[in-house]
Amino acid sequence: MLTTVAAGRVYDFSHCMGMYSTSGIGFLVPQDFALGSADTLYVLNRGVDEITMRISKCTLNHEFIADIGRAGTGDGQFVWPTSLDLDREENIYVSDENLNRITVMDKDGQFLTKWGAPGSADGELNRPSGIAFDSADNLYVVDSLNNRVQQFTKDGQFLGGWGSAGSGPGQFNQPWGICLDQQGNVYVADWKNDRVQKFSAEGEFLGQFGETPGGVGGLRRPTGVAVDSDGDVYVADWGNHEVKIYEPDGKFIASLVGDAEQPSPWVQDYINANPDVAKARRRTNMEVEWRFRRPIAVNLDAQDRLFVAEAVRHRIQIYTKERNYAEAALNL
Amino acid sequence: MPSQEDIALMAHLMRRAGFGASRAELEERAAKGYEATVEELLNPGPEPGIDEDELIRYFPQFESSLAPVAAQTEWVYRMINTRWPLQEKMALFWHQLFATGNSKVDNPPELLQQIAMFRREGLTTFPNLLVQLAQNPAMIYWLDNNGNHYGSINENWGRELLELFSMGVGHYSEDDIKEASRAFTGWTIGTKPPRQPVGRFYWSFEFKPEDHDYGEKQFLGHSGNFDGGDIIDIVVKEEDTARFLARHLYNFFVADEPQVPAWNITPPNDLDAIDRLVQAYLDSGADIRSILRALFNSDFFKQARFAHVKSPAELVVSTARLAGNYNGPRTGFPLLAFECGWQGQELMNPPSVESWHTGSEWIDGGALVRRVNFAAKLLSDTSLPGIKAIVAGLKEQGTLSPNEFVNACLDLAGPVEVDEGTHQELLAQAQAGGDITWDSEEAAAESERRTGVMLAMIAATREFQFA
Amino acid sequence: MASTRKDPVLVVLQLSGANDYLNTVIPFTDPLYRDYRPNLGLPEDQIIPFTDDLAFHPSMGPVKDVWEQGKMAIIHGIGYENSSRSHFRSMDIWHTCEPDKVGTEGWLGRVIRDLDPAGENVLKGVNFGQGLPRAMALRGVPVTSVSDLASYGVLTDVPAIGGGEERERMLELFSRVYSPAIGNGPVMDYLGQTGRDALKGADIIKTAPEQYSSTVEYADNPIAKSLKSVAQVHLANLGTQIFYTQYGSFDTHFNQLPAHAKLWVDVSGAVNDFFADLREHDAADNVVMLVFTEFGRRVQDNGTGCDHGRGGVAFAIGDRVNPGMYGEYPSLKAEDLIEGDLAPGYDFRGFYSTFAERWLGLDATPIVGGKFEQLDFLPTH
Repeated sequence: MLTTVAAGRVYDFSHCMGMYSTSGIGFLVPQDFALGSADTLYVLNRGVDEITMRISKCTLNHEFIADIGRAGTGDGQFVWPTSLDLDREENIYVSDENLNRITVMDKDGQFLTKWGAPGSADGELNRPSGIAFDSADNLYVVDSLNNRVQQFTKDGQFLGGWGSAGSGPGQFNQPWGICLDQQGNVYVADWKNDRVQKFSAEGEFLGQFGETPGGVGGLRRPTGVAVDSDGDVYVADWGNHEVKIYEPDGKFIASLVGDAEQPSPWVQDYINANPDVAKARRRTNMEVEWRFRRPIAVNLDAQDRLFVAEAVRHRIQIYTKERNYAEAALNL
Repeated sequence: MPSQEDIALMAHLMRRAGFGASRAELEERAAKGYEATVEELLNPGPEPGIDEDELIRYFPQFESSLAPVAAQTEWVYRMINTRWPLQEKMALFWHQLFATGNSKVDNPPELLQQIAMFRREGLTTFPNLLVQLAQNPAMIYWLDNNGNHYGSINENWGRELLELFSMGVGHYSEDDIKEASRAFTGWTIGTKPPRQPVGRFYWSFEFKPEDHDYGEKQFLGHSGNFDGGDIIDIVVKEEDTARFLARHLYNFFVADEPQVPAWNITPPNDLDAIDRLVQAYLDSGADIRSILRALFNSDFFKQARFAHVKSPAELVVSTARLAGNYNGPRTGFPLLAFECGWQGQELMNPPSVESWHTGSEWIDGGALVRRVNFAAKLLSDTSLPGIKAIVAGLKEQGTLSPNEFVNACLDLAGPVEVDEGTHQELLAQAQAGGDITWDSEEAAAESERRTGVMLAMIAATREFQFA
Repeated sequence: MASTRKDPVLVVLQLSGANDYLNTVIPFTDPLYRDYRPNLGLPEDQIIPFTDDLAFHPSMGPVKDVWEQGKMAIIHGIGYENSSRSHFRSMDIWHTCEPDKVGTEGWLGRVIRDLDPAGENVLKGVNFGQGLPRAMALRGVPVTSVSDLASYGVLTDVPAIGGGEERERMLELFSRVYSPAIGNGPVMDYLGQTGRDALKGADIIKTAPEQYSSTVEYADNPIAKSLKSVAQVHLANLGTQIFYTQYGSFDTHFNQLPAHAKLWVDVSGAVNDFFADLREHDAADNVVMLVFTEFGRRVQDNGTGCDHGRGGVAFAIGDRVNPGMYGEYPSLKAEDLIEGDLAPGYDFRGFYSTFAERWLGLDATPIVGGKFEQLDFLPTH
């Protein structure tokens, strides 16, 4: 595929990053990621066991910088780390669905603080999943088993929130990912309701994505969402192994299915060092490897490049967007 | 209100057809009736036994880990949390019968795919199951059918199909093995990308016509241009196959039999029972559901309480279910998976294709200590929901004499049936503490603690080793 | 103990996950080593040379001491034909000596059976770790597996049971409910016997730490703890002749440099402390240690680690070991490698046979399933 053309836009596969790895270069079961300054990338890895859980810090140029954090219940440690975001100083915030807390570290991984308490009262948490900062550096937290969104100051003071259990407007069923657009509107991946809901910064319901007539563009257990500078909405359609793209008004425009035909440089090094892996790749159709498997988190950089992290492929695929694209005549 | 006998019988059914049930579930099921419960167990609904999406949301490593313990953990999670207990129990039955091991396959995700196939197909028909098995990639690799070629056969799969998976030794010739092997040539595994460095990919069955021997074969007195499916069709019509499967089902669900290698020389413990299962097999066209219906509704089944030594998986899972603290996603499941292995049943890694030896052979000194310590620790922890429920059940009965206390504990923890000598010992232990009372906070706390100790002792008895 | 003769004792230390041969015993003068290991080559000023051409890993200082004391044999290029790159398969082959089929009997199970045919001592073979390694598994041969010596036994981890007296009462009760009088049929009788034996075994083995005192201070890591437990049981004279323990994971696909260094710090220190402990108690001369791994790692590094390979290195350590190097270091030349791996030149079953026959005085052929070349690192029995 490599190029997806839709409604005046073109999405071109650019390249990918990452590989399966238990430490150092590479990722392992990524759950979320964030783009930092100076082309840095922070990838939150659930890992496959307590030894391999970590945040990988690297550059977009495939340079490994550090492994940050590890499994455990102590300060700076995680049990079920689920979402990661950066504040203005590039401090790292991580939600933990098991420990019901937010952990804060500086950009080098030095533990700063933690906050959050289990429960269902205002400001308490029951499996906090997606987190996202607004332009005032306050943190929205998806409080998934309490079926609500809560807003905190970055040191954990409760500011407000909305949501209840259900499937109506403003109601949630085990929601997961969250993001803000440039206007400060809030988008929540309403996981078990198979939709994304859009709210004003104060929680007023503005619309939803994924329930399009005729079933095209429908979502299955969406986990992550991002909005570009044009207002186009990108959803990690985890259950369908696709990324769905919608216009700002909710109209479905395209699905990306994954195009990683060119392995990442790390993967290429690994293949070069392992002749039998090279042989095994040569004897089979590799197309299945290009496709998304559990796309779980999406982000955009300042140039509106789309980054898609895949939990089961331990990588990030990167797409560029071309606007105002006019189709060539069909009868060429 | 179900009688004590109804509860005891339902507990027996749920221990065998599932992994045990809490008192509340037993009462609910007993109120519905025994036969109705059998039907419900035999007919799982269309929805999966657990929420598959939730499983991956909270345990995303299950889709990526290559470690045996991850696959074992996923299965143990299902055993504990499934809404279709017999479906999961049958997966365990077929795993113990068609024993496939990681020691050779070295691919836990593929072994788990085999278990998923057992879960999906386990209550259909025996011929269907054997075809699915013959086309299961983990099995193909385990028994070398990928090396079984036109013109140069590998007999491993053909031999074990007849010896260990259907007819039993002594009912076919070496030539039958060769001819069956010819029929399965070209049944192999398709290529896929390697499992690293971009995550895992699943194997698939592939039939290679150019590697298949299309010639005529002579097999068990039949001749024709048989392929693997034809061989299975012939095999499943043999009464020896019916008898072999009946004895396996009896050993797993009813009462411990001698080990498989002795079956040629040692007759079944209950020949009438085997005959009735064989009849059900023949009458139904080898329909597993029909055979199990006959089994669970029979008197020989109902009378076989505590005639079966719990396998490690049964002991670990039923104890965890009773303790009630493993409902839904949480940490700690890997330890349960390890525990099965430490007690002698490393799931998806049987000692060989001949599987584990069962019955009293599950138990040696080390295994017994582990079984006792594992169960005693969980059942004595009165902070756990299942144990809290037992304490609450005792509390409802008010002040209890030592004898009433022992009986009530045995009842609520099972019911567990113990013999007179064991009962005397438990009673002596209870008498040392006097009556159980709840009238002050201190008395209630002490009664709760003594309940934990009594449950630990019950978990430590010989009788607790049986299902 | 009635016996005045000290029975030979074998301690097996398994390095699980495939220890990297090239960075354990380093052919540092071979230019190919640097070529193959651009990222993992160990700096010349850190490695520990012990011959003109070979050096130990920088973490192996204590091993170098053992070498200099003349108490260690290095077995080069050990493995087997058509080596499997699967951990599970290869470990299984090392445990069962069955390279061509899935075996069920462990080689040490057969050793224990031959040492104690009547199965009189449940402590003849003792494993420290969770579960039983397949090497020790053999139907009908009782083996004791201890995950933690301090808490080993029946009903040891039940917080609801109060201390001292109540626990004693519980164990008495346990013993009585497993007594023959309560038995009812052969299975119940068997369970009863097994329960009482287990209680007895636990009672005996628990005495080991109580009797033990030593000036040796082991480090705080799992292999040091395991070897300390081995020392405690050995010093208690309970008749144990086969000890088993393992450490890992040596599966260093990624980030090998720090991981491998830490592993060898732990192993070297623990082994050295273990023998010092035995010597302090004059109990070292009947002990020999066998150190093995399931295969070596790939010759070419993969950037930060190396992948599964073939031929590896094994060690025999003890006061009675004929020191030296045995076998040949496999050639690193490209044309001599098998799919990028060192070609094993010596069959591990010969290594096992040497211990079985020369150390334990048993007929090795049925134990390892054939006749294989023995080496002279142990004197003929």
